[in-house]
Amino acid sequence: MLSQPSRFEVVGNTLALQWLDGEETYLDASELRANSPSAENKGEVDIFGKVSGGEAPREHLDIKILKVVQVGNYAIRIHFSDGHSTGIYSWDYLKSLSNLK
Amino acid sequence: MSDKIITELLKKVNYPGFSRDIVSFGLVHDTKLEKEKAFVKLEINSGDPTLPTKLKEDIEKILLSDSAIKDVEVLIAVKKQSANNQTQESGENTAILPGVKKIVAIASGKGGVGKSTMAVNLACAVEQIVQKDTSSNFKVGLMDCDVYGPSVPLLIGASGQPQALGENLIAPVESYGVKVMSMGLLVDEETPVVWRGPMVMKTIQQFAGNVEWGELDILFIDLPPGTGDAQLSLAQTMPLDGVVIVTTPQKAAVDVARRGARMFEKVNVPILGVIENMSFLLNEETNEKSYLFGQGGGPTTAQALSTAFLGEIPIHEEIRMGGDHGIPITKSNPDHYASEAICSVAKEIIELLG
Repeated sequence: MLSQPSRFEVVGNTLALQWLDGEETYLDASELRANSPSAENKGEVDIFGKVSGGEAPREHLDIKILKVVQVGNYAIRIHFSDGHSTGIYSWDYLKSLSNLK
Repeated sequence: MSDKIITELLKKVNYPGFSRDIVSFGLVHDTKLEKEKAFVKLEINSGDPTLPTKLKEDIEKILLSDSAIKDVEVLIAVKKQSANNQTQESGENTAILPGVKKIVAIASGKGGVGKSTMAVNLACAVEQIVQKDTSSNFKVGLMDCDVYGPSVPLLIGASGQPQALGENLIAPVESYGVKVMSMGLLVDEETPVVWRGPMVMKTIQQFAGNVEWGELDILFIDLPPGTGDAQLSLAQTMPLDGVVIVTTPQKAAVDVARRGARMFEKVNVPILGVIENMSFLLNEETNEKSYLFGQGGGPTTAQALSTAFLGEIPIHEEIRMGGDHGIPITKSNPDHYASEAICSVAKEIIELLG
């Protein structure tokens, strides 16, 4: 079974998640924005594995989370203050971001 | 004694519900210590009306525990986010299908395995079973998300244009007590639906948000084969309670059935079980079964997916005829062994949903 939060909340400018096993994850707006899984951010892969599009990695200093919308049973979509809102963050992905730290 | 002391003390105050403190969350905007009075300014963005009081109490308690502080003033500014913290993807702010208790999708990998036939017959069977068992008024809906090749209206004998109930609301068409919505009810048979993906998504969102489903105990969703736009849109639009995988026994169907099912694992939709359709042809004179498509494909699929095997549905002319005439076999001949097989699957689905 996938990771699943028992609750999540935007606290200040941080996304706070509590997983079913009681563990907690805190992700800042800037790291969420930098790691947006959207093709707008990461680009798209063709059949040769070549990546096209996407944004160069950069720092997002003054970025704010405006809104978080749940997507089905498995993910959230985050609306950021720079207008970016196409990233759909699955629970699994959010958990993997927290494990990177 | 400096302002720093206050910050240190505030690090002992956790944000309610989490084990991280309010300083680390960046909620403390200002602290000041004047004589023996502490000033604390917080900014929060929760819509929870009890939160400010709770935080205030916690902060006062911690700060007053220090002998250098005799008085505390806490200012909490609530800056709400532009919209509700937790809404579903489409139809912002309004719950999706609020009157629907359970939503179950019928999916497969391969086409032509009998998804729509199963969906229609399960919908009819469920209605019958519960009506008989509890004599309660069990309400069933069937949403046909195969927008390119809608076959549900034909199979369940639903016809006529859905009634407009308002500018953005249409009524489903009822057939055999099942509320039906399908692209087949909105365009005539000769008109092909030639659309790209985003239109499929829009249609599915509107089938959910702009159709007056009312109160339903269960809504079945008939999907096209595969793992494309329709499946993804559905999984993103509504909180599905489960998916039932339909396959036929042969390898060509079984291999892609697994792939189709794995998609639902990815989007956190529980796989309720596997139905094997067209399992055998029964010679009614000799009682011999011919396994036209081989044997064991359904159970193997269920095992590979660690889910329940819901049953074998025989291949029978009467099932096909039921579809052609728009009278599902579970309605026209409920005592037929094929109907009984479908009913037993329907019962199991209801049990699995709890």
